[in-house]
Amino acid sequence: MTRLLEGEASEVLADRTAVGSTRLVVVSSLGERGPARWFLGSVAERTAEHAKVPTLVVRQAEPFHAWFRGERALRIFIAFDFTQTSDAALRWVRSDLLRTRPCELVLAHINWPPQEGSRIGGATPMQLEGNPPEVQRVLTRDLKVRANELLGTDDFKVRIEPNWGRPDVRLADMATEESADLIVVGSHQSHGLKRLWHHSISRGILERATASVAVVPTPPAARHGDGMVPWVWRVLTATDFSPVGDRAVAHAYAQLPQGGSLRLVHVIPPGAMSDSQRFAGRPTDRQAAQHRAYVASCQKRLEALIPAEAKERGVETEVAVLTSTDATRELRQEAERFGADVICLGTHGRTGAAKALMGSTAQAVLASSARPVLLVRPPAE
Amino acid sequence: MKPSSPARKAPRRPVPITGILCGTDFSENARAAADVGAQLAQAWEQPLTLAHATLDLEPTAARTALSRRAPGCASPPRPTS
Repeated sequence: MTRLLEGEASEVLADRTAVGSTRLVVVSSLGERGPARWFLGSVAERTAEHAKVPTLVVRQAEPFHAWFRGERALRIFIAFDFTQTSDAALRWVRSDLLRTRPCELVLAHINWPPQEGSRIGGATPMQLEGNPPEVQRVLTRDLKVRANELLGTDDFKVRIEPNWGRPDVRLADMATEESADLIVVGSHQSHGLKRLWHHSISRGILERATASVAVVPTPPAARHGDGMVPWVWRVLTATDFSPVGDRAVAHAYAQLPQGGSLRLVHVIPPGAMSDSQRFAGRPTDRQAAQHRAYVASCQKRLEALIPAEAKERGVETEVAVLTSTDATRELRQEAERFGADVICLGTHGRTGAAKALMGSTAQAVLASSARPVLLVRPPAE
Repeated sequence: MKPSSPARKAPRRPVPITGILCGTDFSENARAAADVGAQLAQAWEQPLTLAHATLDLEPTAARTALSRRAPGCASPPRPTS
């Protein structure tokens, strides 16, 4: 079927996707040149920014022809950033491309080192080249888990790199290095000033990539959750050995199904030799021995909190004594390193002056962590 | 009393399009893109619509070109009013 549409090309193409049941818009890469492109973008870029369905911008047709002839798999490079936008891109690859013919998938993530260093922490300081091992391990694990869930396969290559510049530039280069036939990227579809303010990764890739690009918009419903009920497999719980802290441990176990994992931790300050004593600077042999003994005693107290029925329930438990001057930051980072689905903490329920004086680690974790937090209050007296 | 305003032409509602929508500017690149669209349409068993947008009020030439460029489209397009 052919149609002659009246109006500006990107507008009429995008408008048609808002009605009917268009599944995909296909356009070529050429379009506006010169200053008009700088201000408005090409027809392809503007269509991708406004269309309600994925837009395929074809730059190299031959890889697609070879794919359809069954001569080779289509090499797809997916830019992933752990947002609902890139979730939508993965869902589209699964529903529309993987079912068509064989594909080779490369999932790429670019991280901003200071942000991930602050989120995940770890013993190794930030590096100029490459991620610290702890950051790389956590990002690789999280990307594999998320992609496996959304793609329904673990047959993909993962590339994670730190980047101090613009992510779209590096992603386009990585796609070239991977000899990608198609780059798939999600789009927030920000318009006007919002787009200028939050630089659009998808537009940057469209401008720079030499391969074909598919831009996948986020369905409006996805912004309100993906409709999937999340499983809780991993719970992080911490106790300060107060009654309410210990009470939270039992509630943490209650969240887990058979096969789940629980990490039970206690945070002590550096150089702690007892609940009230600590050394500063270089320790003497005696102080070092006292510190080791204190850590061992804390470890035993944690082990004593593991309920007898934990094993019967098939829940694995790890215990650890963590050292930090900032318990809130340490717990938040430990949750990222462990990949906790839920953080379970006891809270004393202090308010007003008591809260201001004593502070609340639990409340601070609740305020600063991106992960769900379950707070357990003391029983009513 | 206000004089009645001249009858305004109601804005035309976009015609719904199902399946795959290919935009073309009649260039070689657009032709290659339309070929890819046609192959995807065949693989997904979806209808393919080849569309050209124009601001020209007398788009006869564009309509003729569009009918020639349609991949796998034998019959000429129905003229639009």
